[in-house]
Amino acid sequence: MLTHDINLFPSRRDEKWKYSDLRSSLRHLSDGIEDENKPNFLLPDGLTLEEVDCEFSSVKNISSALAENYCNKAWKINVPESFKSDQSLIISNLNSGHSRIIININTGGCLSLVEYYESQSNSFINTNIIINIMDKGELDRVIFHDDTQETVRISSAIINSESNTKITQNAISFGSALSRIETLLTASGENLNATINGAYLLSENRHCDMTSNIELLKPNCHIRQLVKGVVKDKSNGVFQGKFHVHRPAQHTDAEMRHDALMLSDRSKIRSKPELEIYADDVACAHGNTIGQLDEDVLFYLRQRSIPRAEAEAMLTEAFVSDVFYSLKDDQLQENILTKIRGRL
Amino acid sequence: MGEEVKIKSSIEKSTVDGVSSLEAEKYKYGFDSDIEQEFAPKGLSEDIVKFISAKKDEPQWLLDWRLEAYNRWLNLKEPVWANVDYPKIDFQDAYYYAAPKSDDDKPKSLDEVDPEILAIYDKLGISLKEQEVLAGVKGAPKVAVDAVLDSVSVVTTFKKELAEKGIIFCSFSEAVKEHPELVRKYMGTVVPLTDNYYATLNNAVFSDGSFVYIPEGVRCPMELSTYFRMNAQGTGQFERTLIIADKGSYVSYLEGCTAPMRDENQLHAAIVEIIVHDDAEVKYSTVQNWWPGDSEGKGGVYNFVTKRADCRGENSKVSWTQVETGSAVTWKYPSCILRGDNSQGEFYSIAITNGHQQADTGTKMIHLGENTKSRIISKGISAGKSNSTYRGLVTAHKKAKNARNFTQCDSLLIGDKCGAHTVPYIESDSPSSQFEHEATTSKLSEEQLFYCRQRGLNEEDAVAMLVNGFCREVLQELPMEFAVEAQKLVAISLEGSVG
Repeated sequence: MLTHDINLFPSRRDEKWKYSDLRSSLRHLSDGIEDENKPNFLLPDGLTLEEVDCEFSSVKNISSALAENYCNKAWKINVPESFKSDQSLIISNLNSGHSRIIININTGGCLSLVEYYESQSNSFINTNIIINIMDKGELDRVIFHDDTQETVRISSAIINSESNTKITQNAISFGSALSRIETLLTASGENLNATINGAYLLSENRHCDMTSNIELLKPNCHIRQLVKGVVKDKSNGVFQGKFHVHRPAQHTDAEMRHDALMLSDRSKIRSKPELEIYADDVACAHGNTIGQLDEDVLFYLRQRSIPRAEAEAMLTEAFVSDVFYSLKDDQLQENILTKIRGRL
Repeated sequence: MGEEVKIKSSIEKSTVDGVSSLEAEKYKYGFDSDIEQEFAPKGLSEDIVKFISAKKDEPQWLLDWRLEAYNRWLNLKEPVWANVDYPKIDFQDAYYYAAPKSDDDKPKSLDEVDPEILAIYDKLGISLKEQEVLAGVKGAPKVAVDAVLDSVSVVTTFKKELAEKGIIFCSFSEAVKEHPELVRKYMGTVVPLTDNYYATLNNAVFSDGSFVYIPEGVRCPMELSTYFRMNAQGTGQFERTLIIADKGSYVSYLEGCTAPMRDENQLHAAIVEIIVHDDAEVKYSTVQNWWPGDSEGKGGVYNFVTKRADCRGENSKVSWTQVETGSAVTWKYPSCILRGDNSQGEFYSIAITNGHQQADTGTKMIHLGENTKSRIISKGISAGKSNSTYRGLVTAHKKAKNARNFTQCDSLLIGDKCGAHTVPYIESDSPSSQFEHEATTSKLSEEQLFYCRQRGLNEEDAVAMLVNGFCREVLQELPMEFAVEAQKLVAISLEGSVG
């Protein structure tokens, strides 16, 4: 059983937390480690919210273990069969303690979900979201991480999808003392079509970790993952991705990409794109690049009397925003791009 | 041959003294005073370490080295992170000093050797006499394969030629005696005493190995090969190799051979250390084809090897090329420490697993100096019920300005009961570095197979042909002598994987 004994938290000696040392971050800051949080929900018409007992989940990770230990209640949202709405489910106030949220998308239901993580206080925050998507369900998820520099945050989503489902996820993070967006997706049905995108833009001493683990159990799944990162000052960007293609998951088509831009001498990038494949008739690929802005292009812009800083900002924006061009909601897309511009 | 025997008896003479000098109580551990005995009793203890050292008539400093390694090893834990699965090794159930099978146990003639092995020899085109040595037939010459291949003359002529150039190429034990200053200066400077569990074990009990020193400005006129070296036989289990390339020198070193070696040792824990000075270049090629176990996955060799090259000098270069087709379990990461400015590291690998084999192999490229470059090309082929993993690290230190890496790892799956995995680690602290990594996993193209079959090739030949094409980038890095055999080997390793 977990207590607030910090030595029980994962450190860099644990393979999954190799590049994000939770234990040492908590040594500096362990406020809120035993608190339970009440998030705010803005529900589209037709959805219901109930308070249920916090039960044990089948997927075990540090986030779910903590939630189970410290949350008495979980927040459960039911998306009815064939549900469709123009409005998004917006979850906010995920800014202290532990929360568990359960979302069930029933057959043919479509949910657009937006999560705001905007902590103003310095504390440890853990959000554990469990999403079950039934046959033909669709999930469109957008995640904003915009915390103060001292926050220590884990936000973990455990997603289980059945046949013919569609998942789109776009995450933007500006990091914090330690910030991790974890996506654990298990495709237990055929024909999943998933796009898992993310971008991080870090400055000062910030850290951001985008970790995903995608388990494919059945045939004909199509996965595209693109994560882009920019690190400045003394910041630290981490990407860990894994596709685990099980033996029956034939005809999987999966691609993972991580591109990072290093803009300062003291920034760091850690990347671990992993493939574990047991099915033979698949096409899986991953790519990873780390580099800096193209000097020739910078020169071109400066020749046209654009100051260096501005030219760098332009190129960086172009590099990052690429990830969000596929967003369907124009307003949301503009919001993200504005936030990115604000940081450059 | 005559000289060989003389050396041997002189060693035994000194061993007698060495062993008798051990305190009397040590004998309670089971080895009696029969000094002629060629092996230590089973198990591992401080006394066994002393026994090995005494047997080899080693100086005190080397014994101290071994003992320290042994004591540190006792406190180390066996690594479990690799993606391999094998029964726990009982380190007390093994022999640590060359335990050659007594002549009575050896096959009396080739008729008694497993016909499967013989069939493979035939396919590789190995002469009968050579087959006898490889299979360990009783009465076959004790010296290494070279002498059989082309009589003693080959050995003597090439020894002479090397000596003229000032190149030292001898067994590790010989180097300890003849060139202790070089050994002491370089040994353990690339792979430290307690680098990892198996390397530490090797440090405590290593049997023998090769030593190469190429003096300044010398270009080694031939490919050096363990295959061509005297005394190479029976040193396999805890081998250690030390290669030093002084300023501006060049050497190409070949390890192993394409023929499947009959080998009684279950555990192989070798160390290879390479030191490259300014403007020097070392090319290290390995073809590993140890016994992979039977069709049920029983037996087979555990190959846990630590290989590392240190590019100390500016403009130095190391190139690792490996073809891994054997062993039940392979756990091997030939690495390059790119310390000197403008140094370069290369890693070309083919890992083929079939049957129940498991391979967890890859490389580490550690960029420390400015303008360092590295290139990784890894081809993994899994067939049967095997699993192969590429695990690699590319890292750039803060000071590694303009470090450049290109990594490509491709995996091919043949059949639906195998697995192919890629676990790259990419760490950059240097903003001016450029790292590219790409990996793909796929199966053989049905269209290409169909095309080959249409032209009258049977399925197995077609698969072999396509796989050879898949590996071409790596095969062409092998020295000529090896490349042809390696191509055949690729085909043979995949036999039984289709249909």
